[in-house]
This record gives sequence, structure tokens and C-alpha cells, in this order.
Amino acid sequence: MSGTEKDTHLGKWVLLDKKNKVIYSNKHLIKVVKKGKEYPKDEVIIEKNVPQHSCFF
Amino acid sequence: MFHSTAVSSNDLIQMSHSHLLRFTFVYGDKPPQIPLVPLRFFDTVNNPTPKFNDILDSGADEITIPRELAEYLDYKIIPRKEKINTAGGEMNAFVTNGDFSIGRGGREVRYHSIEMCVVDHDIPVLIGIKPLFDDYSISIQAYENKVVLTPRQKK
Repeated sequence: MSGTEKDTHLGKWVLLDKKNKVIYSNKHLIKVVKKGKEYPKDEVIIEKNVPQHSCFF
Repeated sequence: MFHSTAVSSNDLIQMSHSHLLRFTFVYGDKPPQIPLVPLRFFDTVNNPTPKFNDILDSGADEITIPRELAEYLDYKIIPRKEKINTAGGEMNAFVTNGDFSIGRGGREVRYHSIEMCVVDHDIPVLIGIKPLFDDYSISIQAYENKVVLTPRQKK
């Protein structure tokens, strides 16, 4: 993910292709999971685009 | 005792014996440079999700997933009797059991019926001590943005 992409999708769940480029993002995890299932297995990966210095609890 | 079944085909066919595989995962070199490992979850009728890049969290007891994911996977979600302790204080949490696999490129290790913590917050999936840190020596080589999982030696 490039720095610009990181900013655009900050805080969202993102679907990444093999080159680590964002091909879909949404704040709802399940929408990203469903979109990911449209692609062949191992072609995409889901990640939460967290800001730097994040603490999760 | 290991909880895993190694799989080597694209169809995730279970082999008859259990063993662990050595993995090296490279994660992004852009901030926040958090160590990530690829996991795939399976719902109650064995349908896999796409892979997730999940965060290694040696400060957590077990795998922690957001409630939205647990519900999507149709996992049974049971409230914990006691609140869990976090860096930010106590919070309500739930417990569930589910299946996942770790790995990529056809090299995956499947785990069955693993207890996981479920929280209402929209957090990334966190990979705590159980079960992966119990089964692997895990080395985070931040200077190379790399995580190396070496199967533990049997005693």
C-alpha cells in the first residue's frame, strides 16, 4: 500500500491484490470479506488499515 | 499436543497426520510496520474466508476477533463471566471456538476448534499466545520486516 493509499483508506478494512494495492475498501469488515470471495483463492488478502501508533484496546 | 493438520493443496485437503511447517512472512515496509501473519478462517460448514493479514500480539492470551467476523462465520458466541483486562482497562468480551489456517501459497497449517476471544470493537484480528506461540518459536525481525515461525522441538 502506498502512503497516499494508506491515507485514503485509513481506519477501513481493505482488500489488497498480490502487489499490495488496494482494490476495495469499506468500514464494514463483512463487505470486504464478501468482495474478497469474488476473487480466486490467494489472489487477495484482507487487512485493517490502522493508523500509526495504534493501540487496539 | 499439536492442534494442527498440515495441508499442501489448493483445496486444503487434510492429511492424515499432523505436523507444523516453518514459515517466513514479510510484511510492509511502510509505517506502521506492524508484524503480520496470513490467516484464513473457516465457518461452521467449512467455507473459507479470504486470507487476512493479522497482527501478532504476544501481549494477548489468545486470538481476538471482532464480533462482526464471529457472527459472519456463524460461530457460537458466549459472554465471558468476567471482563477482560486490557491496556485501556476492563472491557466486556465473549468467547467462541473456530477453525483457521495459517500460511499461504498452498502451504497452510490448519487448526481446529480453537478458543478465541470476541470483542464488540472493530479491531484488527490479533494473534495472541494460544495456539501459535505455543507451537512455534516466533521471531519478529523488524529490521527486515519479517516474521519467522519455527516449529517447536518436541521434548
